[in-house]
Amino acid sequence: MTTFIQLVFSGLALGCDYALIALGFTIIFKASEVINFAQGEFLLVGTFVVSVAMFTWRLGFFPALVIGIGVTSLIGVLFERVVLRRMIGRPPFNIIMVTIGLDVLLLTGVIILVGGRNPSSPVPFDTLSGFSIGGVEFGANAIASIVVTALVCLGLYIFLRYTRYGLAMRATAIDQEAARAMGIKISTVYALAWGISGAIATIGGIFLAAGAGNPSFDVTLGQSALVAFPAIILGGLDSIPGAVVGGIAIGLIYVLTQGYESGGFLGANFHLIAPYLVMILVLMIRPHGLFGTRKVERV
Amino acid sequence: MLVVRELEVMYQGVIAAVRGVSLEVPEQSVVALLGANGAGKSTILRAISGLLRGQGGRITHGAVEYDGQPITTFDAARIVRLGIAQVLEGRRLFGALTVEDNLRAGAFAARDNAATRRAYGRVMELFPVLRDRRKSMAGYLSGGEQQMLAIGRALMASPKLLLLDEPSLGLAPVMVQHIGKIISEISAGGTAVLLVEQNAQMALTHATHGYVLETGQVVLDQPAADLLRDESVRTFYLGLHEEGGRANFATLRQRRPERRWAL
Ligand SMILES: Nc1ncnc2c1ncn2[C@@H]1O[C@H](COP(=O)(O)OP(=O)(O)OP(=O)(O)O)[C@@H](O)[C@H]1O
Ligand SMILES: [Mg+2]
Repeated sequence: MTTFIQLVFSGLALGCDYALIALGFTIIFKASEVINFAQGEFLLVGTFVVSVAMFTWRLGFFPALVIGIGVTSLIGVLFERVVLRRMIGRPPFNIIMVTIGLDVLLLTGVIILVGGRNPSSPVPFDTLSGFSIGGVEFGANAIASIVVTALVCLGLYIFLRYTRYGLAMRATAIDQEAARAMGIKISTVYALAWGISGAIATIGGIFLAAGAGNPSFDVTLGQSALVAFPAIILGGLDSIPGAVVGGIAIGLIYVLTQGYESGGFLGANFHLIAPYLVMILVLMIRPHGLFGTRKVERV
Repeated sequence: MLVVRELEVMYQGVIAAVRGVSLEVPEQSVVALLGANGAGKSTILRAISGLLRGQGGRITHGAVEYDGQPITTFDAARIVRLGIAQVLEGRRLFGALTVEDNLRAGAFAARDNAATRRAYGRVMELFPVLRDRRKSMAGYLSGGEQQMLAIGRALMASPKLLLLDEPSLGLAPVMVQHIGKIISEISAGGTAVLLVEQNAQMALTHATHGYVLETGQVVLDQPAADLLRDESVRTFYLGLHEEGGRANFATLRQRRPERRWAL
């Protein structure tokens, strides 16, 4: 029982990291139907900038975080402005290739700047601290990841539900031309989506870097964003609640299979493919994912 | 207040959808724009509201003037803020949003909260049914309610000119009549209406002036009452066929060469 609770808690914490990463994809896709293959490198860039601000410039964690979020959002907004804007109306494949190009560019940039040394994970507390109740370990990093993800979701909800630009984003996601007819500028909505996505990527990247209690991270951090793919597909590409539920589900599946697989007939590394199996199963039953939209229409 | 001069519009640089159209919408009037499918009605509305660009269309000649100011190069957001709102063909509600959120979205360009509150009060006056449905998803409203919401949403921007694209589309006769009355009320309230319609009877009953459009050109330009009495309009648009044939407007014109349209 202790093991089970422990695994559920760890799975939840990991799932929250995935949820943050998945949210980054979903927000951009919902606004502009672009799948941003550079999202992983947004994580890396954000985390790297925070690390530099903390350990090279000797800033506190929170000022460093603000800078990291600012830089990553800015890259997103600029990319949208300068490159994607010219691609409107092109086939999706071209747009995907351009985001992959950005991915390579960002990765190379960080590799050059890092210069072979692994940057320190930027965290405001000792990642190995925590407490235990009845034999279950509650690590500080895991608790922070759950709390921060909840706060990010709450913030997003309030923004989308109650603010003017949040409403503009929701309207644009449904019908661009109708939104333009209300005087909503699509370019502003896109910029917002890329900016928010960059900010969330930075936060997710920090948790991922600090995840296993590592004192440092390397340039493959961005590739770990790929684990969020089953989460997005599971939740439905265009659903924000779907990204969160999908992320948490994948985290739980991953950690639970990892915890119980040893000695089982499925072999020792089954947890690596379990998320993908679940994703395929869900797609067979619900092609739009658990929360993906079919249009709301009166029949 | 609105003057369109020798407007020419091309799609993808090759398809000439509108070919030298001039028209005028005076203050507080209702002006009808009639024409068969593909005549270029929606294209003209998009050219006025600045929505052409998203459709691959471009104004290649002529001008749109609003209160004496050329607005041909303005983007859609700026044109809405100037006081021109468009209700797109097919209603185009945000189906997954509530009625209230659709109306809030309509007020996106509104100047201030006071203006929005006034507009909201006015919309509720015109469409009392929307008040009871304000928490429902727009996509689940009836066809008539949806059209009312589409008009109400555009009115949330407190426009001085409303561009209406086929509001009677797919509605039962009673609802068409109701929408017609609403249009008269809107213009009585100080908002001019440019009304695109296939339902010529409804449009001409409520309009002061009418234009008939054919393959991108104005072929008739007369007071609404005259158009309502016009033989060819009656035959072609009001379904009062003499021989029940599927004659198009052009062949009708050729058959009656004594009539010369102002071209
Ligand atoms: N986005 C577009 N790209 C290319 N051609 C277009 C586009 N929109 C309209 N057209 C063409 O321009 C012409 C005029 O179309 P428009 O939609 O303005 O007609 P309409 O009078 O509104 O017709 P309907 O009554 O069917 O709505 C048509 O030949 C149409 O095929
Ligand atoms: Mg049309």
